[in-house]
Formats: sequence, structure tokens, C-alpha cells
Amino acid sequence: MTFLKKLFLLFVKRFALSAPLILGASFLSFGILRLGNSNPAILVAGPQADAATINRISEELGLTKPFLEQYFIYLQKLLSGDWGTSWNSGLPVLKDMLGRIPATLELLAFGLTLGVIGGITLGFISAKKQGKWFDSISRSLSLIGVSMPIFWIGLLLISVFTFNFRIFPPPLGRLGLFDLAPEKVTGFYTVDSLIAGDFGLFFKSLRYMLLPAITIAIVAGSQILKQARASTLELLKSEGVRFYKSHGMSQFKINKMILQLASPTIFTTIAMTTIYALAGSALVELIFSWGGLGQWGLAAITSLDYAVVQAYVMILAIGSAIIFLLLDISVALVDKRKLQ
Amino acid sequence: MNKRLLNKLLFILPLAVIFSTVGSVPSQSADNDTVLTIAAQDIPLAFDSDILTPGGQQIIPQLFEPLVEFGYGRPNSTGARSIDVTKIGARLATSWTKNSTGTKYVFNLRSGIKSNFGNVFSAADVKWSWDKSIAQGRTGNFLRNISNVKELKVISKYKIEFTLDKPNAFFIQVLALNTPAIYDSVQMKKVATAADPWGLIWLKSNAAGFGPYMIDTYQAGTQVILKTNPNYYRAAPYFTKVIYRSVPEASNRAQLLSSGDVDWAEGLTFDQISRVNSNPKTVVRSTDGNLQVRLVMNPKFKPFDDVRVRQAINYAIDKAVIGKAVFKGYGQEMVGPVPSGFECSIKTTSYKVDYAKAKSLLAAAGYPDGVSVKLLYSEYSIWDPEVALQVQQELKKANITVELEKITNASIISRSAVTTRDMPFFVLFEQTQIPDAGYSLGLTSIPTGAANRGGYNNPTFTAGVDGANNISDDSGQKLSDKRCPMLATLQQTHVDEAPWAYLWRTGAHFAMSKQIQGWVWRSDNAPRWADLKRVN
Repeated sequence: MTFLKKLFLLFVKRFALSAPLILGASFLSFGILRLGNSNPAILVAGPQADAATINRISEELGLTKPFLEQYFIYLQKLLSGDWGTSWNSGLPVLKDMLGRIPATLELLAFGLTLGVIGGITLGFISAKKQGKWFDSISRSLSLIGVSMPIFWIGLLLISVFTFNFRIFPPPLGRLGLFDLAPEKVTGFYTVDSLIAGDFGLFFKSLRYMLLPAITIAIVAGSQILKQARASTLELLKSEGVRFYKSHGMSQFKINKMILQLASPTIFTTIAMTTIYALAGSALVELIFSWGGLGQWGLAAITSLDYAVVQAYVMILAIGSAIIFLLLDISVALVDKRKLQ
Repeated sequence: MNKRLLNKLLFILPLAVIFSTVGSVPSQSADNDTVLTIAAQDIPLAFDSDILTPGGQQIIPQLFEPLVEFGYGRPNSTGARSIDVTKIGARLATSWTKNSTGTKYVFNLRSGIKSNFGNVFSAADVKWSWDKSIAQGRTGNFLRNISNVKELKVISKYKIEFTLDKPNAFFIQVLALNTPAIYDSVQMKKVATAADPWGLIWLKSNAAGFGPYMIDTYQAGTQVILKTNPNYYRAAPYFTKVIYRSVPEASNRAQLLSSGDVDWAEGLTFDQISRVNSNPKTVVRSTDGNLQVRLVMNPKFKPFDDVRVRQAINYAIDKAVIGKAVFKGYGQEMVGPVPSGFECSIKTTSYKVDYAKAKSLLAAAGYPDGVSVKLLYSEYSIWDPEVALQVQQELKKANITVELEKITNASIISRSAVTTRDMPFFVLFEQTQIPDAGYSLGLTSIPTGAANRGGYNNPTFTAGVDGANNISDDSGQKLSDKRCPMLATLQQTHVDEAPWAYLWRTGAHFAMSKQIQGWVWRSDNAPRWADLKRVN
């Protein structure tokens, strides 16, 4: 069997395994939301609605039907592309969600890229300089990133760099109060501003993204740094590396080999960190008034907007499944034995 | 290129990109004299006055114009002015007459007014707007019921008649609210469909009204930008544009105001209010307001079915301790169910902290060794968790063991609604929009009251409230002279029966730049941005 065929089979297998994960997430989110004794019809009707209005809305929302019937109706609609309607805004959830995804993806992409590059580089150098001052500093930094809550790091950065030194713009979202968003093509402000040829806006959107992205990078990068350092150290002490060194292999080639051998473990850490960042970015979005998917999901949780919460959980589940799929493929590409 | 140089470049390039994007950041509000910038707690989910979502309560009064308005009082020591509920002025209605029984009112409407869509205002707009509220069965319909409105009839283009099935003491005050808002019915009918006859879907992101502002842009969850309505019939507002940007984190809102990035910050904690007040560039303007923090006890559930237990809880709480610990000295103790300053409000003979008396009341109620209760609370207002903790500490002194249970904001709303009311004991923060004792008791303390969240039900009390509210000044006697003695008795009865633990009036506190002048407190706790101007 050819390599590509094996890779395709792996993809199909992993893809099939994702289905129960997503289905399970849908059932759990649907069930947990209905465990409480709150009646969303009252929230829709408003605090001063009369009993007749509340009962009418309960009927309209299908809340009077048995639980399983409600779930199957939900599932059926979900598969046909109808993700429901937000009880708060009255807007179709899917449309609302798709509009917010670019904001979150742009932030995550930027933050994770910084985190991954920074984490691997610092982890690798730290291991090579074990016990030196560089190692001590990077280990301390990673300890802070791992142990401090993400929202606390964000607030601290805002307080110091925005309000004390005024290096970064205020946490007002993706652009300033008087800036106009670029015409939507991809929904990524940095990309759309470049497409529009507006370099001023490009740098502005980059400026607004830096601090929230650094917040994500600190948390994500710390985990990766720890793992990269540990894996590199283990390999540096291995007999194989010592053998190659003693036979005069160049430092560059040894470093390359170490990175290649450590990559499956590092990839797994990156995948786990990405999933964590996907959920954790909600708090970063809240602190930086980002207006993305996470902020939307959090607001829905506090206001018990069932359809939005379910959609948010579903998108996290689908996102996680895609990340695991990409992880398996990446690891297989680096270590072909995984395809056996 | 050698490897060393390449490595250096790889290191320097990302740093260069980062540093090219940062630098000294100027204040956002600089050089925008006629733009008002607000760090908002929430962005409205719709511009429907019957579905008041957070944020919507702030925006809707800017878009619509009421039939009448409350007059203005004198400024207090902090320079803040409040409305005067005893004075009613003309807005969309220029004058009105009523029949001798107080059941028919005819309003003469202002002519030549246009909406932001350019359609001329008429009596048909008033009728359509009230019909919409009645059909929706929500806030507007509640106000219609409590003010006894039976029907509306268009008499002519600029004349409308309201028929009440009984006289009502605060009917005119209801018309000063923005629910039901007066919509431009010509535009609304254009956007209505068979499936959506009141244009509610269109109202999710649009509005058609006769108010000073109109929607310029709306980004759900992020911001609303308003601009002045070019057809507004009164003086054009000073601020030609208002940027209402969502900043969910309270500490960021406070810092944005302090740093001059915004002109106004909503929803600050009392610690943040103190800090804003000590900043030479910002100010917090405060009034007594109408916001109350209370513990609601539902008499349907044990042990709150015994009035002595409810009274014991009132005696066992030192409100001053809560005021100092939670509210940092802002506000004042509640002295009855109705905020002082409301029409016909009184200072009742209230409860002074007395742990011995609380214990003896508990013993008389059959709990000589104390009692255990569960107190539900949410984060509906930012201080609720702290209030719950302080109450727990206080009640312990009278052998009342409190188990705290945190529930979601949504649960507090849902479980206290008229169809449920299943929480025995909970923390509640609420406001009453019409500053009238009769309205307040009708809203919070009779079975049909939408905000009677603890299900208090005393038929004699209910009849008394109805009697004080369904009354008119037909005998020539001043209305307040007739009503106030009745309402005074009812307020004292409420306190004696103690369906609430009367805790604290937080006051209304609005944080803004010192440059912003003209603010007036209104009972819906929403500033009118057309009142404001910038003074450099």
C-alpha cells in the first residue's frame, strides 16, 4: 500500500472516530442545560410577562415536549443545517456564529503561532543551556504561564502595558473607537485590510491584536516550552545523540535530528494546548472586548440561551476533533511508523 | 548570506514587526469634541421597548420620544439633578383633558414632527405602538394593565383618546416611560410581514422613532453607533455621534474612563467608583436613585411561612455592617418597601438590629435552638455574592445558619417569574421605574405584580393597594392628600409582615469625564444623551 493510501485510511479511521465524540458532546450539552430548573420561556418573555405569554412561548419553543423528543428534533435540525435561533437575539445561531468565527480564529492563529514558535525555541535553547541563567529565566517564565489563570495574565498585561506605559492600545476590541472595519472578505481584519491595500489599518489591527495574542501565547507557549525542554533534554542525554556527537556530526544536524525526534511529543502538546486555548480564549476575548465566538458563548451561558450554548459546545467539539485529526496526520508525516 | 547573519535576521524581523505596531498610544477621545464615547456593559440584542435586554435599556430612550416627561428637580450637593415626579411636562403630547371620573383622557399631539425615516407623526403611531405592546403581552402590556388602560381610539390625526376601565393615580406617569415606545408606524408597517406583523425581526437591528438619535451602525455584541436624528423637533443634541462600545470587564471600563479613552463608563463596582471619584479628570455623579437590595422570603415555604421568622431575620441583620463592607459607605439603609423620595413614600418604623429579639422571635416560632436556611444568590448585580456572604455572617449571630447557594442570573429571573416563584429565600436587586409608592407596591407586593418575586399575598393589603391606585382627583381634593395616608398604612403593614429583609438602597452612581455636563437622573437609570454636552 502506498504512503498516500495509508495516510488516507488513517484520515478516514480518525474521522469516523470523531463522530461519537461530537454526538456525545451534543447530547451532554443538550442534557446538562435542561437539568436546571430554569425556564427559558420566562427569559424570552421578559420579567414582566404574564403567565399566558410565558406558556405560549414555552409551546413555541417546544419546551413542553418530552426531553428525548426535544433532543431528536434538535439533532435532526442540526444535521439539516438549522442550528436553532438565539432566544436572546432572535437571530439564527449559525449565521451569528459564522460571523464571529473569524475574530476568534484570527486571534488564536496569531496567539498560537507566537506561543508555538516561542515555546519550542525557548524550550530547545533552555535544554541546551541547562542550569545556566537562560534556563532559569525561561523555566520561571513557563512556571508563571502554567500556574497563573489566563484572565489574570491578561488583566495584568493591560494594566501595565496599556494603562501605565500606554505601549499597547486599550482593550476595546479589534479596532479603536473611531476606526472603521475593513470591507469583509475573510473576516480577518489583518488580511482584509491588506486585501483593501490599507496598510495603516493593517498595522492598527495588528496593534489591537498583539496584547490578547501575547496573553494566549504566554499560556500556550509555557506548556510547549516545558515539553520541548523535557524532550530535548532526554534526547541530549540519549546514547544515540552521544554516539553521533562522538563521530563528529555537525551541531546543526544534531539539532535538526533532536527536533525531528521530539516532534511527535511536542505536536501532541501543541494539539492539547490548542484545544485548551480554544476554550480559554473565551476569557481573553471577554477581557479584551474581542467580540468573538468565546465572548458570545460566555454571554449565552450566563443568560441561558440554550441554542447558542449548544452551538458553542458543538463548535468546540468539532474544533477539538479537527485538531486531533490534524495531530494524527502530522505525527504520521513525521514518524511514518505510525502508519504501520 | 552566512548562517549567523540569517539567524540574527530571523530573530530581529519578528521583533521589528512587533515594535513597528506599538508605540505611544494617544487617548481615544482626543479631538472628537462632539462624539460621546461610552464603555458599555452590554450591547442591546434588539431595539424593541417591550423586550428590554441589558444595553437596550440605555439605548431605547435615546431613539424614542414619550408623550409626556417628568419635570426636573434642583441639583444636589454633587451637582446631580433628578427628575421631579410631581411635575409633568409636554413632549409628543402638547396638552390633555380628562373626564370627571378620570376614565377618559384626550391628548392633543404635536404636529409637524417627523421620524428618522421622514414620516409625519400622528395619533395612528400612538395607537399602533400600544397595540403592538398589548399583542406582545410583555412589559408594555403589564404597564397597560397596571394603569387600567382599556382601549385607545384615534379621534383625529393629532388627537388620541385613552379609555381606562377604572381611574388610575399614575396613568400620566406611565406615559413618561419609553414602554410602550412610540414607533413610526408607517415605517414599521413597511417592514412587517404576515409572519411578523409587528416587525420584531427588523427591530433586532433597526429602529424607527421620533427621538433625538437614530442608529448609525449596529454590530451585535460589539457596538452601537448612534447619530443625531436630522428630523428631531427639539434642539439638536450637542453630541452628534455616540459610540456605545461593549467592554465586558468592569475594571477595564473604569481604567478606560480614568485614562480619558472614553467619556463615560457603565456598571462600576464601589471600589472603582471611589477611584474614579479621586481622579481629577473624572467624576461620579450620584443620587439616591431607586435601586434596592433586599432579601426576599417566600411565605409559601417553611420556615418563612411564620411571620416571626421573617421578622427575626430582619432583626438579625446589621445593615450598617453590610453598607460599609459591601457598598463602601455609598447609599443608605432601606426604611421600608418604597424608596424615600417616591410619591407618598414614608419612613416606616423599621427594624433595628437586635440579636436577642431575633432569638426570642425564633423561639416563639418554634425554633429555640435556631434555624437553618438556604440563601440563593446570583451575580445579577456585581455585589450580590458579597451581600450573601455578609448576610450569612450576620444571621449566624442570631443562631440562624445560612447555607449559600449560587445560581445563574438566568435562574434568578426565571424562578422568580409569575409562573414559578419557587425560591424560598434569595438576594434580589431591583428598581421601580415610576417613582410612586402605589405603583411600587402594585409592582412588587400584590399577586398580579410582575416583580412580586416572593409571592407575597395578603388580600387585605392587595385591596388596599388597588384602592390607593384606582383613584382620581375628581372630588377636587389633591390626589396625594387622598392617597398618601392609605399608602402610608400599607407600607407599615408591609414592614410588619416582613416578606423581605429590607437591606440597602445603593443609590445611583454614574461615572463620567468631568467635561461632561448636563446629566439628569431618571427613574429608568438611563441617561438621556441629548441632555449632555462637553465643557472643556
